[in-house]
Amino acid sequence: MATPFWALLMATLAVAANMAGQIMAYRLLRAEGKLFKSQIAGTLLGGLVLALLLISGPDASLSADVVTADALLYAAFCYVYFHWNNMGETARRIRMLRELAAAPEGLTFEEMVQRYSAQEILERRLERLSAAGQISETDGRLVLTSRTVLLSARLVGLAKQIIFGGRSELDEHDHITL
Amino acid sequence: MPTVGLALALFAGAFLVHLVRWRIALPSATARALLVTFVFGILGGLVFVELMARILPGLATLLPPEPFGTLQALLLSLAFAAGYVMTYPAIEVESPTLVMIQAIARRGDEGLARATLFAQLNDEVLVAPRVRDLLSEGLAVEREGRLHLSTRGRRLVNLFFIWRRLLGASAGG
Repeated sequence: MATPFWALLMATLAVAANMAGQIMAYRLLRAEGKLFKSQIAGTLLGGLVLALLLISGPDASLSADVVTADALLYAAFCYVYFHWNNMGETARRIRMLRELAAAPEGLTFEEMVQRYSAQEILERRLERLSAAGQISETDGRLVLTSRTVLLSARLVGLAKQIIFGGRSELDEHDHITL
Repeated sequence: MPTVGLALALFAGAFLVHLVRWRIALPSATARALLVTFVFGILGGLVFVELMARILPGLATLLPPEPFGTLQALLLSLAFAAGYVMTYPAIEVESPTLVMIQAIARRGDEGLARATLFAQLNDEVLVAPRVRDLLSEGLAVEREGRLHLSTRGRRLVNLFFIWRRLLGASAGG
């Protein structure tokens, strides 16, 4: 049997282990931030399964190229899966779709805003940033306490520059001076 | 590294097509357009490479020697594309988290007043554009001034319902 066949099978098993591990960890964990922790647990378990299979699997003659491709395939899956999980948790469009699913007679824009307002969006995110130690609040003023998320923001800004030439949807709103 | 090299080349080719197309004119339903661009870009790229390898025998030595190797390269390039497609919404639309963190960072030690943030990032900025996205992506339809789930929207939301039930998670959002 061709070696990359085994490599593909191993990557598939690692992905299955990751998903199973994440679901189990999520169900077992009770602490705050369990989504992120369960994702880490799943990633580590899947990575361990992949490493063990590559070392002791049925084909010991896998080339460095095939092994690297397998590791990258698994890493790409982890990245996609991480986003999938976060979409279900934080994405505004998914939340709106859920609100529409719960309203068989449909919703007007005003009704949608009543169910999911900008205020709620901001409150939830400030809470998450604060819990993650990214910001702190004193006397109604918000201060940055870690630069991790800021780095992500800068990378996204760079990508925006490359793909859209720096155009931003906030440009349409003259009142924004943030 | 023929497998990794081919995967990177296929992804890079499709990414270039995406970049050129987006710079010329931004598609209205971007999520769908992005998926189509990457899937067809990668598949088209693979066909192109295979044809070129028949014309230029030297090129064949740079490609995976076995069909499963080519399949692995194809899957890897699609996985890179999937990673990019998942990242894209954060690049296309303004993430409230990233907007807030940049605004807070700009104010330094003085900090940013919570009231300023809430006054400027209002429903018109954070909610209305996403409602318009649902309509342009065909995930929702508008009838007599009311928004309803479309069939596609229902399929997507059901997928998330199943997934979150499997996790035993709450509503989220």
